[in-house]
Amino acid sequence: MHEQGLNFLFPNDFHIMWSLMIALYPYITGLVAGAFIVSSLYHVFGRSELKPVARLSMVASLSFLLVATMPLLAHLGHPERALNIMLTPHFTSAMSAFGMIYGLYLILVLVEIWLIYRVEIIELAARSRGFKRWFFASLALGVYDTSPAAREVDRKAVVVLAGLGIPAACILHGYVGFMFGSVKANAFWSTPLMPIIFLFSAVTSGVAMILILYEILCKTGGRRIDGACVQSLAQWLWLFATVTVTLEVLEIVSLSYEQNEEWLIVGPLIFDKIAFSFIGIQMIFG
Amino acid sequence: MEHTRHLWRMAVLLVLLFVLVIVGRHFAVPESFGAHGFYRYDAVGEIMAIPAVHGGPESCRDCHDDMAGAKAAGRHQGLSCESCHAPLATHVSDGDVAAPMAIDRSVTLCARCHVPLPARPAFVPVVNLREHLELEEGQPIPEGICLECHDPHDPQP
Amino acid sequence: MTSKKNEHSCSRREFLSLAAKGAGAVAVVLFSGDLALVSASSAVKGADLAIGGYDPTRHRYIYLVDIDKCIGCGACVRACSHENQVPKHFFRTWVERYEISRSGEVAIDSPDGALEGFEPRATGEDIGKAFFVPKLCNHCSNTPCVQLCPVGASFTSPDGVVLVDQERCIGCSYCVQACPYGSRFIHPETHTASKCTLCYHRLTRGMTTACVQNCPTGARKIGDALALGDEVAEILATRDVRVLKPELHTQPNCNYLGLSKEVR
Repeated sequence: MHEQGLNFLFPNDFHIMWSLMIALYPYITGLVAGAFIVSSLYHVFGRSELKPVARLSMVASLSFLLVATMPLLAHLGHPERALNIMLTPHFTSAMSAFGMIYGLYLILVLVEIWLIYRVEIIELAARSRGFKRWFFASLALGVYDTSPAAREVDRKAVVVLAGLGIPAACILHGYVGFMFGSVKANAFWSTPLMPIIFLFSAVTSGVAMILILYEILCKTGGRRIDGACVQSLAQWLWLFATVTVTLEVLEIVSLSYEQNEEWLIVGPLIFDKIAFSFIGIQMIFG
Repeated sequence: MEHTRHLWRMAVLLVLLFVLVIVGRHFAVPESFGAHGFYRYDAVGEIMAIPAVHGGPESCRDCHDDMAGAKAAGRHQGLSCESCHAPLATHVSDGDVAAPMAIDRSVTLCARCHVPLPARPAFVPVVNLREHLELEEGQPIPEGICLECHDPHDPQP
Repeated sequence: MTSKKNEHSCSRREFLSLAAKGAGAVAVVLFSGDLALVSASSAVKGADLAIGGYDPTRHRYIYLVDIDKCIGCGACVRACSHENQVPKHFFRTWVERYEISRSGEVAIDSPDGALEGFEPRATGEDIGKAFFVPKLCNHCSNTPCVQLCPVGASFTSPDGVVLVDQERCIGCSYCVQACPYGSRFIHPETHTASKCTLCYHRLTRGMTTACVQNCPTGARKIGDALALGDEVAEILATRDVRVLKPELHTQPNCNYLGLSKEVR
């Protein structure tokens, strides 16, 4: 087994260290960012046709955010030391930003969801008894103000949070791209385009995920599917997919000889997802 | 203003959470961390405390002056005793002999240096083993055959 | 409507100002701790760093490989694996064989890191030049592995040795990805990053590294840039020495004599 010149691997490099688990993480944060942007399209940019999925996408974003760290923990040699990254974040490392970005984004999403559901929480607190009442009352922070003025305050606050959340979600996801892109030793990843490609593919898969989730929930819940909402989602999906595909093609054309295993794993996942959702749309409108 | 009370409470809650994180961080970071740079300085001492496995030629000479003397004058003077034998730690522990020293008499050991390779510098004496031993095709190389003629502590060509 | 709008924009402004104050507080508290770290490290005196009579500020280790002297026996690799209990098929040091034909064809191999040396290789090529290249951690002054470690587990000791804190490493292997020289790996048993320590446990006891001690030809040498009349320092000052991948500006402290351009 003699390697020829350029194919030579250092003896330690026969062992692949970054594998499926690392590929899974950006995919999940991609769903997080994508779902958040769908909800922000409604909250910040007033795309009212997306109202039926605005809450769904916020909750989906939170759910995926909570499980996003699992593949990372599975990848770490010492998952029990994972908190070190928050305790002593080494700011010269792109990875150390994880703790802060993830933490801030988590708080932001939690607060936004709390604001969106605050009125429901207060109603639940009023309706229930005993421990449940105590639980919902403390969730409402002891403030039972559901006046139109208070709701308007909530709405404004949600707009601000959702506005802040868009860059936060983009950073949460885009910085993963930066992490890959900034590995000096790996010329194949080392492209400044990486965060942008990551971002657009994320939004694409996030929108697709919401679309599928919405359809499934409507079907199982026996609710009517809002045609305008699905159509709007499909349009957004088409826009983001176009940009993603364009960037991907640009990347692949310029680096076609430098394919690596991470992209070979992430790429098909995203494209399968898109393909799947397109079939879904075809079935509804067909 | 009066309708923002819940926002203020949430803000206080977040500030409390933040203070908790800062205080918790203070207790969870090891004491020597950051003392002399962005790392735990105690780790340096921990790495220093790892026991050495190889002793070096001097440690061999303490007991084996005869062998070491012959070798030091000969063609194998550059070789470390432990290269051909085994690391000191396998033989001596706490100053006492713990186990007999391994002696490798294999042809493989000699061949690692003395088989001709294009990349091998010319100053190393090399032999084609089969030609040197005048072996027939397919005949195995007898183990330990090198030492029948060559003394590894003072080898002659 | 107008008054209502004003009222709400007021609450929004308050909310924003609160958010801004909060963010400011976050930054101040978080960074004040780290500023303290920086000021502490700049005020350090040599004596404060001494551990058991060893003062790391009085040493600055430099490594030298003389390619013309390497005979490819692999004694260094075996010694290193014994000294540091290096797991099978992983290497803190290894030896590569380069065989370059007259037509420019480059063949590189390092069978099991040269743990058992090299076997003759049957090639039809007309070999123009051939040599062995011992490799190890370059202990770069500007190293990407320390820069990229998210938890401060990889660090450069005051005497210039790149080390890993086995107690803090989370095993993310970002540093393994980042090392352009392939000198790091994740230890299959400890699950932490592992690499050449320049036999730090030996150097600090006044001994030499296992690889240098067991090299039969003196192809490997270690020196101390702060020691008077140091042999390696003298060679660095007077001979044509090169480093691996200088274009990456990692500033390696592992130097090579007789390095050919084909070496990667």
